[in-house]
Amino acid sequence: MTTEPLAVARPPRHRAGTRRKIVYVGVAAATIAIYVHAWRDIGGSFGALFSGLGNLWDLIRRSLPPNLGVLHASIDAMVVTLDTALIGTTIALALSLLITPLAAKNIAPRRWAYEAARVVIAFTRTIPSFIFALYMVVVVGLGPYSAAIAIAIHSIGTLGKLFGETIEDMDTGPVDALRASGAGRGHVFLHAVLPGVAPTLVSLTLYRFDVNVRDSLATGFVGGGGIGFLLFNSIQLFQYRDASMELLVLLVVLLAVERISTLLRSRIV
Amino acid sequence: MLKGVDLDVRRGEIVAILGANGSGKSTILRCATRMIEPDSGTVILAGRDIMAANGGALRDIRRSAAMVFQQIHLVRRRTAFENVCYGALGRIQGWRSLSYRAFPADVIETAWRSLERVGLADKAWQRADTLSGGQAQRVAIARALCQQAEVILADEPVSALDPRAANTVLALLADIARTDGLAVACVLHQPDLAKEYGDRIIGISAGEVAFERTPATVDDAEIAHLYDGEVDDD
Repeated sequence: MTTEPLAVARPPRHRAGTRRKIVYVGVAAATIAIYVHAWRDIGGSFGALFSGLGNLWDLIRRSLPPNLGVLHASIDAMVVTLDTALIGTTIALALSLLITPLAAKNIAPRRWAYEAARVVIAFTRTIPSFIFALYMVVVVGLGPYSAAIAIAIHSIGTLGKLFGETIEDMDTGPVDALRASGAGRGHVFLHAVLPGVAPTLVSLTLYRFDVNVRDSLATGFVGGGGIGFLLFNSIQLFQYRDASMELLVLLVVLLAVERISTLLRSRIV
Repeated sequence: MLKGVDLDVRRGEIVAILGANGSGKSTILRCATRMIEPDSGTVILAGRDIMAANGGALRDIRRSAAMVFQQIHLVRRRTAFENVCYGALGRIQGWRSLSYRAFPADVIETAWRSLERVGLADKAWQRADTLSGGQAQRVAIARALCQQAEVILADEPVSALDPRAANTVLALLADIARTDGLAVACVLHQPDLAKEYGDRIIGISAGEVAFERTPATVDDAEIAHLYDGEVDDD
């Protein structure tokens, strides 16, 4: 037995009413106006871009070939940058683990402690590391140490927020089980919370290290040492071939760090 | 909402609590340890008023009652042995509590004996998330034994288990109650299991005690009446 398809009138497409059309036009006009204003505000000019192509070619010509004479110094500086990111991330990890129990709503002991932790996290996360570096240079002097501290301060905010959210999303069953057995807050955090979220925390920390290597570059520009400092000086002194070699070393190392970080994070169970 | 629930669980006996979803039976157990805060009333747990305690005193009273949960709630990434050891965390102080490797020797010995009691010493070093449901619940019972509590509060401990595993777990709880002299309160959905393993059966309906009987005197009609009508989830 076969069945014929049911003959149903095709419903007409819904058309927007007049009011909705006015809203659409208004939004489009506002968007265009915002972009026009933004373009004018930054002094944007396609003419300047095209007429600058000659300068760009001159820049490229003066940047090649990369100066092999600074390869050794570039590698040394890159190692300093990696060390800066490593120390900064490690300090941030240790301090984040202290603040995280307060920053997760499901385990924070008091509402005021939770809010205070969130304020600290918001403050440190919002301000970029190179701004902290500008201040740290005044506090501890020029060099990678100021950069490491700056990166640590900024990373406390980022890691604290991510760690807190990870804990808020975790299965709190084991937490309840240990609380019910009379274990204290510290025991519950150490033996129920941390094991539950450890893989995610490690993954987030590795990712943060990856980002911090790039941040170390920016902090280097403001006196934090490492390859960022070298690169900034080379460009300021118009040593573009030196800058090319430094950029090349930077590129190779950043890609390697990113690959290794991705590989390690994929292996975490 | 519980209304005037008066529950008495004695040493050496296993009390089965029956009731429909939302009747308040799980709430009773959670109120007993203040995992849910009662609005009013008195809760005497192992001879002490838990409602009057806070902070360290509250944790101290909680140590006298071990909970076994429907969802089991082991620390999944830790081994069975470590999970059992965690039952003793409430009585370990200072640096020794940082890792099970530093736990006092008597706690380690208690943990081994607890695992042997539930028949899972051979699974000691297996990660909790690799155990079967029945095995995991037995490890949870071993954790309760390692806690050296006076009372075991089991909240639907066999709901997620197959019949064979369910019988194994309940036989274990009954044996613990009668041999070790613990007081065991066990919320169940299965009247047959309640009759087989319980010394007393308490029926809860709409937050009140509907009946309290022995397995020999409980009426099937009374039990069926507990599940009449629709209620909200617990």
